[in-house]
Amino acid sequence: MNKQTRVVVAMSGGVDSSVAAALLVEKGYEVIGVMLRLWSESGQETHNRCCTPDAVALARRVAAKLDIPFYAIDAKKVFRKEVVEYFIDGYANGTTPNPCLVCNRRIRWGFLLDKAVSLGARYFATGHYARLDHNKHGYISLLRAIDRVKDQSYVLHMLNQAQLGHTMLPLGGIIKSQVRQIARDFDLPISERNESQDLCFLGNGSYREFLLRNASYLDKHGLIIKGDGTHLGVHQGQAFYTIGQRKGLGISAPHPLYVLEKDIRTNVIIVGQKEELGKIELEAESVNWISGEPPKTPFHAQIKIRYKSSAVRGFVTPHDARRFHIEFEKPLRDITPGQAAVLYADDRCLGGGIIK
Amino acid sequence: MSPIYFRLRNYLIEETLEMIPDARLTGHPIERLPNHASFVFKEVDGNNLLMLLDVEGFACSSGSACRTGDPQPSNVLTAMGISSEWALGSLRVTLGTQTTFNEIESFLHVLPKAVERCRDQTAR
Repeated sequence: MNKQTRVVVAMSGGVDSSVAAALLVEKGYEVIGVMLRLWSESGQETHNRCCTPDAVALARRVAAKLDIPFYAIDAKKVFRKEVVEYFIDGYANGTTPNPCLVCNRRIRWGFLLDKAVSLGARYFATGHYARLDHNKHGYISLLRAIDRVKDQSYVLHMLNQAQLGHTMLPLGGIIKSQVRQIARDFDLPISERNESQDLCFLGNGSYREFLLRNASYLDKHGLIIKGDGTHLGVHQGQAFYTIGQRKGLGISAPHPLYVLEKDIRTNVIIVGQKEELGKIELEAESVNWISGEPPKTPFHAQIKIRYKSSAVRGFVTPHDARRFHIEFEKPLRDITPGQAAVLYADDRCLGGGIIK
Repeated sequence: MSPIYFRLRNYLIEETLEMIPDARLTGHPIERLPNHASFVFKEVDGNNLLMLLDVEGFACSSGSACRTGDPQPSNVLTAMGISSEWALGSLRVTLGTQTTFNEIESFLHVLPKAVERCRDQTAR
């Protein structure tokens, strides 16, 4: 039945993408496994978490076990240009960028989806935890995963209808413990690697060290001041501080102080007390609406402002197709420019935008 | 009489150069291994081409055998004066004693389309 339908699965050697591939094989699809070789700093090639030689070998063994073809595709150049530059530029512009979002849009559902189509695939599948719902008018909705803890719809909010039309997410309807069981049932050679929150291309170091090596111009000292203009100290470069950060400011004060704002024009960091930190509204740009059409009227939604934060209620006012405003019911302390604000109506992801 | 793979190899070379625009044979036309054909195709990613051929059941190679998977142009092809826009699209095809005429025909059916697909992607 599915024998004629070719599906390309993005594999990483990890349990999720391996089980995604196994489930598609079981359903009778003609499955091809692919893995991207992504960019690493020279001298750090074995440290890119997404694609160390070990991980490629592991994915290859999984593919062999499932008896499917497997190809490692070089994406270093396009990844460096689209993702790493975005990351550095984001910090240079005073934000805390989320390069995984760009990687998903431009690399996985761009570069790799193109490769899949050229391989004659009807679908492109990944091990992300999220669900797709095809309605009878041909529209596709992106839904949160059944496994709420693992739900990854946040990092897929920028996909459009054309991309979703080629997408399969085999893990959206099952929970992580089932995924592990399926891996055992198929006897897949999988190592339980630690799931890291760090970015794949940072290797073993921190993002600060990475920026110092790759964008040394960000090492631009400036003043740390309070809202009333009092000088408190000197910072090492705005890029190395995040809104809400308390530790590592190197200043002493009777109360703990937090980064409130970064003035990119004057290279000044403004700090203040915890109570001053919250904001009740935000503006988002580079907005994507999953349906392809912005809502015509303002509406209430559940909103996630970080990948791992829980959803909170707010009132969304679309300005145009690419920008919206949110007013929250209560002030939030971790509204961070560069991260995404993703909108939900119950289980349905409506889309989202990058916080300004 | 020359072995079958020698004649099939010659047929493969002739047809490939005739059917595919911007295709060149690399190496000497005659003084080469009797089962071996190697080409460069302008503005093609050789690794991408290998994948498309492999999916259709043809195992070939690209670049130097000792640098498989490396996206840099082969040093040998570069030293032969071939520019990188050609050298990246190298393809090496070898035949065995059991290779049949029908297999060569189906390869020649697949190859032009695969090259075209690669060029579509490079153009993007």
